[in-house]
Amino acid sequence: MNLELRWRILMILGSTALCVWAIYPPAEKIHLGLDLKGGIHMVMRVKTDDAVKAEVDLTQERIRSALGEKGLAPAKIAAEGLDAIALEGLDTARIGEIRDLLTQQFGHYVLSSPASGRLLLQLRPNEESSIRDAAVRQALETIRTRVDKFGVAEPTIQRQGSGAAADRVLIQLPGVENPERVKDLIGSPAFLEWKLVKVPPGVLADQFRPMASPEAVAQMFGGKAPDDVEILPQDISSADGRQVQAFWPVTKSSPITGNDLKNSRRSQNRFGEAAVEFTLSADAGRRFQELTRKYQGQLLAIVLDRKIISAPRINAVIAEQGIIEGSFSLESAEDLSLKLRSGALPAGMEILEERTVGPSLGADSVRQGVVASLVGSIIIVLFMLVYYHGSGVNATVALVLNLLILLAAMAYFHSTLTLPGIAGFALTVGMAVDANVLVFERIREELRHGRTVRAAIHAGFDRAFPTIIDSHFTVIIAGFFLYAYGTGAVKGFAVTLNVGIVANLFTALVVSRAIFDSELALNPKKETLSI
Amino acid sequence: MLQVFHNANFDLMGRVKWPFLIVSVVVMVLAVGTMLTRGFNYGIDFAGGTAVRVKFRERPRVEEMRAALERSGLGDISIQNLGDPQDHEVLIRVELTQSVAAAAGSEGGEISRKVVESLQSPEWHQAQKAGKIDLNMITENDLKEWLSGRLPAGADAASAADAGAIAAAVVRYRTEHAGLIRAASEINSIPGVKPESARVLEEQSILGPFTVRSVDFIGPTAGKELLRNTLFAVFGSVGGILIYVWWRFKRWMWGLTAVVALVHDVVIAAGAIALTRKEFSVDIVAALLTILGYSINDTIVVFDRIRENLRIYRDVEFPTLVNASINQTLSRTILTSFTVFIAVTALFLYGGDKLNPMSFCLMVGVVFGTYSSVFVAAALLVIVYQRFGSKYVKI
Repeated sequence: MNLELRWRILMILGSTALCVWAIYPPAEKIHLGLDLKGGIHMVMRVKTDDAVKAEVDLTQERIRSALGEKGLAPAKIAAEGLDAIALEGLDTARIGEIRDLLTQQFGHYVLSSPASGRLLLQLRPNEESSIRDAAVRQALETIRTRVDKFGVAEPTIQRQGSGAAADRVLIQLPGVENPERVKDLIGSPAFLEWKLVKVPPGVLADQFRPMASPEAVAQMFGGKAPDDVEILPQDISSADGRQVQAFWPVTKSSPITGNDLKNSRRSQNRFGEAAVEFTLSADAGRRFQELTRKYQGQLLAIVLDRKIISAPRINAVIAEQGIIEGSFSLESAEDLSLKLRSGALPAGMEILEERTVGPSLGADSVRQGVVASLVGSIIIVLFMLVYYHGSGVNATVALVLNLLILLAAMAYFHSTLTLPGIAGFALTVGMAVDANVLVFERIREELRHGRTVRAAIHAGFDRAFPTIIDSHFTVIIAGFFLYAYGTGAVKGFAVTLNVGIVANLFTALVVSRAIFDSELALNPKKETLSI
Repeated sequence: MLQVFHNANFDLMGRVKWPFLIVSVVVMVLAVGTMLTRGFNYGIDFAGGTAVRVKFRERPRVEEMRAALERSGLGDISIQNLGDPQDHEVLIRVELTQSVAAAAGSEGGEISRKVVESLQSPEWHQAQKAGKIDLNMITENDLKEWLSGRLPAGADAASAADAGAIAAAVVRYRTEHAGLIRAASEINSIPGVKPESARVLEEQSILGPFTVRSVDFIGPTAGKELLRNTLFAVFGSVGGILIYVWWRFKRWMWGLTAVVALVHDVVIAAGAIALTRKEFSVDIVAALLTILGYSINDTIVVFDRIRENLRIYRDVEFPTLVNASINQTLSRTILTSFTVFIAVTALFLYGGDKLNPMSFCLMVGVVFGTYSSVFVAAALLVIVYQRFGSKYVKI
């Protein structure tokens, strides 16, 4: 046996050992996809429009006060479309002054004047896309914090998509079974506000009861609520157990919001019911103290995501610490305090895709996939042994090694094995022997032409080589596009297919050849080949 | 020596190629016609909507289920049996429509919850009101919490650790038995659950009629994007392969005939999916792309041999040479496809209902891929030669 062949065999044995090392122990090293392990897969869209709208709303307020200070307040200021603000009824005599002030203070808007006495501020496109981008990044951070605090092992939380679809967030939570709770935990903005209840004139705070419809509330103010008042709903259960809504008039402005929170945790009220305890930052604590002193005896609504949780009467001056009461269960109090700790989402979330796989289905899929792959492999191996006799062993070794390399590559690159991925495995088994078949048939052909065993083997490998490369390359072309454009589990299929094909080149051209060459080296005068 | 063909010498490129080619055209036309008239049975990947997979303890009564679901105003519903009849497993699909979205509060989870609730029996709803749990639906965490206050003191100390261990044991047992505990007597036999705690479970829980195995919700935008991506992937692959074959064989006509054969295979495989009404999901896209990449292999084996022979036998007529090349490679063309066919057939038979459409599609593609390498790709090369002379095909 020559030195070169020895090195080749050593290299093959070495890489085999490396593969075994890479996949041992398989339970830890081979990552199963959610479709095999069970869990929740979600694709959510961050409604970045919300963030743009929030910016435009805020700017409207700032323009109003900036112009108001100088006595230049316009008759009307309103959002135009999503990303522009229109000012109407301006003092035409001082329009130059107004323009100067606006360009100076609101440079991230483009100022134009479509008509006399009317100005339009358009949010700059790069500014807008950075607002959207920031919203997605902040949402990602918030979701990550919430999931971490919820305690899910090995979650995947990634930004997905590009260009116009860059507002996607992929969330995969293995082993989690109840999507409802998780969805609420991840998807609700959890924007907390404290607002004073604006009791209609002539009604005492203690006697005020919320109304069954927003119109009824408006009626109490004589048909239309004042400009600084908005009407928000509260979900309550009626006497007969149905879910109904009650409506409250509250101030539009929120003196304290969730951003002022320092901490929050689940707690209980004096009746032992679940509640959420919060701690405000020092600055907000002072404001809260002032507020509660000033409005003692009035109702203070606690608003979460535009819905009123409860509206207790201010009985005492409260500073930094307080509790939120509502009809909480232990679980919902826990979840709310978790969400408040993690901060609010900058925008609403929309579910684009949600898949929940129970663990029993995953286990069944694994079993069926493994059985199908084994049955296929065994029949193929038997066929190769019957058809090619001794050389069938050769193909079998190559096949086994092929699968080993495929598994090792998946373990090394942390690819996940999905159900279609298992199909990719089975397919790899079928294709793995293809290259062997091409080589063996060629060797047979050369033997028929009267060549010696040695010459036939050499010619067989050399002549089959370009065909094997060509046929493998076309599969990789398709596999590449499948990987590039495929989603989720199909990507897993593309991974196993591509890696399997590359591994196949190695086993069919290097390993199988080394086995033939060793046979020749051990028996240099070999006159017949079992093929 | 076993050999598929001993010195095969069929005249395949003579007049006989025409009937085969006509068969190909007819089958293709039929496939396209089926796709156009019957259309695909799009899965929720493409169509959007909600799919709830449910496994029953006893034979599911589909008509009753349908009536119950329709009463809850879920709109367009389809119920499909999965796997063997004795699996008692069904897939309930709720189409994504405006009215459904409005009725169920626009979110997928809402719809699936509604589906599950309307499938449950009155007894189940009563048991829920009485505070009993359903051992076939409860999650491990909830079971643990529920148990921690109810375990009898003494033999089973009512500690959190015990509750956790019992909940884990029950859920593990359930997972190993396809998600269902079928009879109350089974609870006693679950390893790790002592008789005392088994009694608590038996008395204060019920065994619901089914378990939910998976829930999928796909919103309206996802399907459109998927269709776009699918088209990108298909055209990208076809283009890539065309360019590669062209480059390798130095003649665009070779690339073109190979790609025609390829399109032939993919169209027929897709037509077979439309004809059998198997669900068209992303898995089918994966299968079609695999066929794109794989079915050309046989064509390449034949083409490589034609190219090789062209260099050796310079004065042999082109059709004769193509015919000889086909015959020389016939064994390996069939063998390579055969091994892959075994693999995908095993998947088809044993891979479970989820892999069934995909493996069926691959089976069709592999068979027609072999056929087309001879009767489409090679035959077209010969026809081009006969019509337009050697300038398009000679290397």
